[in-house]
Amino acid sequence: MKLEKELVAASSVPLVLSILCEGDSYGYAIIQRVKELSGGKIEWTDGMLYPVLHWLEDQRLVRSRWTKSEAGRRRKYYSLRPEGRQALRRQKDQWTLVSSTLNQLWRPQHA
Amino acid sequence: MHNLEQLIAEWRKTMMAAPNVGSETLDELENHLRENVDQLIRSGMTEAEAFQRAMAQLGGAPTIASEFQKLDQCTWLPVKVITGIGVLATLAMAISLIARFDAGRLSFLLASHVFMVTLGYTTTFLVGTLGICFVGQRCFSDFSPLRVRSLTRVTFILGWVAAGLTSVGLILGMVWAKAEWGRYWAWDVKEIGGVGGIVWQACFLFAHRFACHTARGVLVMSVLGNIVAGLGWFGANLLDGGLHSYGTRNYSLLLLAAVFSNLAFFLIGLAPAGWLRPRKVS
Repeated sequence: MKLEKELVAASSVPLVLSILCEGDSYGYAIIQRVKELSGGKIEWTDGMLYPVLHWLEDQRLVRSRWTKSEAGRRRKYYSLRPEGRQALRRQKDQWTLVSSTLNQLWRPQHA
Repeated sequence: MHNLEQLIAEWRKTMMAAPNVGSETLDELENHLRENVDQLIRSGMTEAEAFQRAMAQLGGAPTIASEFQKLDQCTWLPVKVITGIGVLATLAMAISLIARFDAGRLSFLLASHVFMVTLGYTTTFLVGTLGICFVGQRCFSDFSPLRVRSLTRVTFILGWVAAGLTSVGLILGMVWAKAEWGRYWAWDVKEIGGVGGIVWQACFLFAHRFACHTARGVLVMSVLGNIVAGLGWFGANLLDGGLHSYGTRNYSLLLLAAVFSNLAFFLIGLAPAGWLRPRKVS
């Protein structure tokens, strides 16, 4: 099963915020984490993640810094700001509401 | 690895041609590409296969550029206001000069010189005003890197416009002076002021070359353009009763106040971002 494009787009912000809530991360690692958690079913075009990260930074929900990896490669790490945690809480409430509503509708007697 | 470096260099060249993808973003995307290529090579692919796959996963330049374009759509209010003022000033000046030219009070060459130089100075003032707005807002909250990048781009374009207009205006003025006064250059204070303006604009554009590291500094620096243009334009009349002295009012105090207030804005711009933000009482 492959997720529809619109749903992938809509879920990108809560997914990124949730991953950053686990700890600081960078673009490639975020994509790998999404693949790992979704069993490879959520597939982003890798380049699409960066406009999302930059938008989150513009909205002051995350901050970024360049660091060097052990291999000497420069990486741009993103971390959650307190405003980002608040936004994540709001996102959680909204997605939980949608999920519980759908779950009620899709219980066996409704199916 | 040499082949991979070549492939990445070619990919970078293609991406650089795409609008809305800055050099820092490109570094970030290149880093992503390299990580993915390394991973794919470890999983058994050849270098060329890994690169092709990683590039396909990353997406094409037009797609990425169009996604970044969506982020740039919201323009900062002062930029809109300043663009509006610039358009109005151009129209007003064109109408006024055409009327004077039509009445036979100005030659075409002199009208063109006045139009170009005045617009050049006005553009420098508009860039300086943007700098003041930047400093003002930064006292309360810092700008996001995206906003700073977009502002830097705007001031870079306006800087080129100002430098171009002032330079062309100066050359037209020299041609007119040769025809009317018999010499191209008279070392008049206003002429020196004009050269000073061009030198300033060149320095400002040169500073933009390093804007990826000091974008905030460049935006704060733009405030100083107000002083240079102010002294070159209005200050020259006060200093000398030379060829260009057609100002009659003594506005030296006003000019002095303008110089000091711009200096104050410049110094305020050196303070850390958000220093005037109300602190939360815990």
